[in-house]
Amino acid sequence: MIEQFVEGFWPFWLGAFGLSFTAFGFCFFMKTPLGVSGFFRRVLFFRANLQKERMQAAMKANQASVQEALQQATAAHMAELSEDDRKLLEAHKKVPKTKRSGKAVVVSLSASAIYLLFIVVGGFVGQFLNGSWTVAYQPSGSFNDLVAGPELFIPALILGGVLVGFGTSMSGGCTSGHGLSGTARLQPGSLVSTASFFGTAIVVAFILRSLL
Amino acid sequence: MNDQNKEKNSDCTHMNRCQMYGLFELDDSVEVWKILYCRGTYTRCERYKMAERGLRVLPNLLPNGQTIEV
Ligand code: SF4
Repeated sequence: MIEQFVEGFWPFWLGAFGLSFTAFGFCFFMKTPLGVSGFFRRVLFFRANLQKERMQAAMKANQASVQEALQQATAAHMAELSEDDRKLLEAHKKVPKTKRSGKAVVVSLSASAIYLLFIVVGGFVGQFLNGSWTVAYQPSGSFNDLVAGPELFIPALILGGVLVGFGTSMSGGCTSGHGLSGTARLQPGSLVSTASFFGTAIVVAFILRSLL
Repeated sequence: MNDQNKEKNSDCTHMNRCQMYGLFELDDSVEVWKILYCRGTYTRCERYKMAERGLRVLPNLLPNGQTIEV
């Protein structure tokens, strides 16, 4: 049984189960949706995020004084409200109050770094277990005909990486954030993004197949 | 319905991860921010605008662009 999983590809249903378990488990335990590109961004801008986390810790430690400063800032803001805003506040007073939980959950810098590290470790472990780990300077299978040799293969990888990074940044998420977490929560933006990138992948795969 | 009215009837899309919103929730005396920004015209909030541009949002930045001392 173990050998079957170690050699070759795992069954598709196990992959689906593993991915959904990861996305659901993450959301359940961390109280926020899984999004790998967000972790990557947090680690990439670690200096800025470290400063942000320190400030959050300071705010937590001095909650009373933060609350006081916030009340003062609120009073100052109230003194210079526009006519429209005043009307809006007046109108709001007549509406019954509704409460909503606004607990802000942000995955910490260290948790993001650990998650990213274990994505790499997991990949290595899987490849080592089935004995297929190797340093590759050329693509496998028929892609070798398209981008043969490191002088084409490496720029192709860089170009692909840049396009993925650009698309992820532009759409505010990647396959995990939009594809797993967003579609599971029926977020319209995630449904559109996932349909776009999977649709594009299918079309490109068909085109390449007909070329190779 | 124009865009401005649409925004006035909807919640800020960053609400669940906005630290400042968490602070507003703790104290009813500062709920004016929620009414005017978070559940009002959130697109004019400086935090929202920065986050939308992919910029780092400092935890002590208020929706009107002022900061509170920490
Ligand atoms: S403070 Fe700004 S970004 Fe945060 S929830 Fe309110 S409107 Fe949105």
